[in-house]
Amino acid sequence: MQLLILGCNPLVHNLVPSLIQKDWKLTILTSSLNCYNEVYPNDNPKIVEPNGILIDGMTSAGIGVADAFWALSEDDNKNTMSAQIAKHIFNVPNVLCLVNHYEKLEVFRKLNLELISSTNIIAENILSTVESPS
Amino acid sequence: MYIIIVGCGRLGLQLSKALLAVGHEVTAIEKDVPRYKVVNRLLGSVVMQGDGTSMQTLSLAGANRADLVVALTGSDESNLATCQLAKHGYNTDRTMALVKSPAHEALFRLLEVDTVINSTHLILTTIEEEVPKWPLIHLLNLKTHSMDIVAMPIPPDASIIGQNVNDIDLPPNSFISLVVKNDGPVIPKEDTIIETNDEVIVVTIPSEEQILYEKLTGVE
Repeated sequence: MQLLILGCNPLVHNLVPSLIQKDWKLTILTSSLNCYNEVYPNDNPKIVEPNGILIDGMTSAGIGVADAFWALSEDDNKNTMSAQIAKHIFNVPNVLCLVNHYEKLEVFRKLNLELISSTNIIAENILSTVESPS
Repeated sequence: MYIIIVGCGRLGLQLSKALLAVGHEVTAIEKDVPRYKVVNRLLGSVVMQGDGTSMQTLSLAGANRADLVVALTGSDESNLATCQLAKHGYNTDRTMALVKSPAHEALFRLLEVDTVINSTHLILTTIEEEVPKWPLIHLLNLKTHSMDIVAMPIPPDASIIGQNVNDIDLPPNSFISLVVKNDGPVIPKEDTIIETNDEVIVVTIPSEEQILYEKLTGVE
């Protein structure tokens, strides 16, 4: 499984070890130079720096051969645009998009994007903890 | 007409002024606080400070009654988000976006931004018009099929001078749609001959432009 991830943050840091264990080939598109201080063998994940043009960065990171694209950066606008590039221009079969501002979720759901919202997930977690008997 | 302009750089500021001058109702949104203060001194209360990619800001600006939302920030990502939030969140009639990177233009069109302004394309067109030795001038980019309409003055030493329009060996997706002669334009017919000082208007696709140029001018 060839996965391209946009963004490098604690969420991605937490995901990477499990994905490597599953033997996925990872590429991370990020301008954060200190994204990975840890050393991973076999160039996995591979880190690619963008050149300022989103579609060009995705192309050089291998979106053309990716089985999946996950837009997980802190920037909602970058996430939604890159997810739509992956889905509509490169026909990537598995596209996932993080939207941090929950009020935008309804709009982007209308555009048939597979969305996740950290706010919603955390809120649901808190509610289920509160509501479950101790 | 009620128009919301997102991004008050030089372009957004001048456009706001021009639209207000001809009687349109305008709200301009600027995210950057120091820039907002500058624009506010010039335009007054029509400017609001906020993020044009936030539903809350668009709501306060009255996106639900806007006839047109124009996204003119320096970020393609923000401009696309503004247009999509306006169109699908507030049913804004028309959206218009500035695209800085030509590579993103096809996506904007695919995602139904009504009007896409490609700044690179506009500057290129101006250069082509100003530099007489450059013979291929982009007139219009057709939204569907990614086709261009280009104008090409035929140089005096071109190999097609004296040829019938139908005999010119054009690339497969290029068509001469008009020949502009000294005494006016003519729609190409069976007996139309290319003469010195003619200008041809051609419908073509970007990948055929170089070969079209070579065929019509004889220059490689």
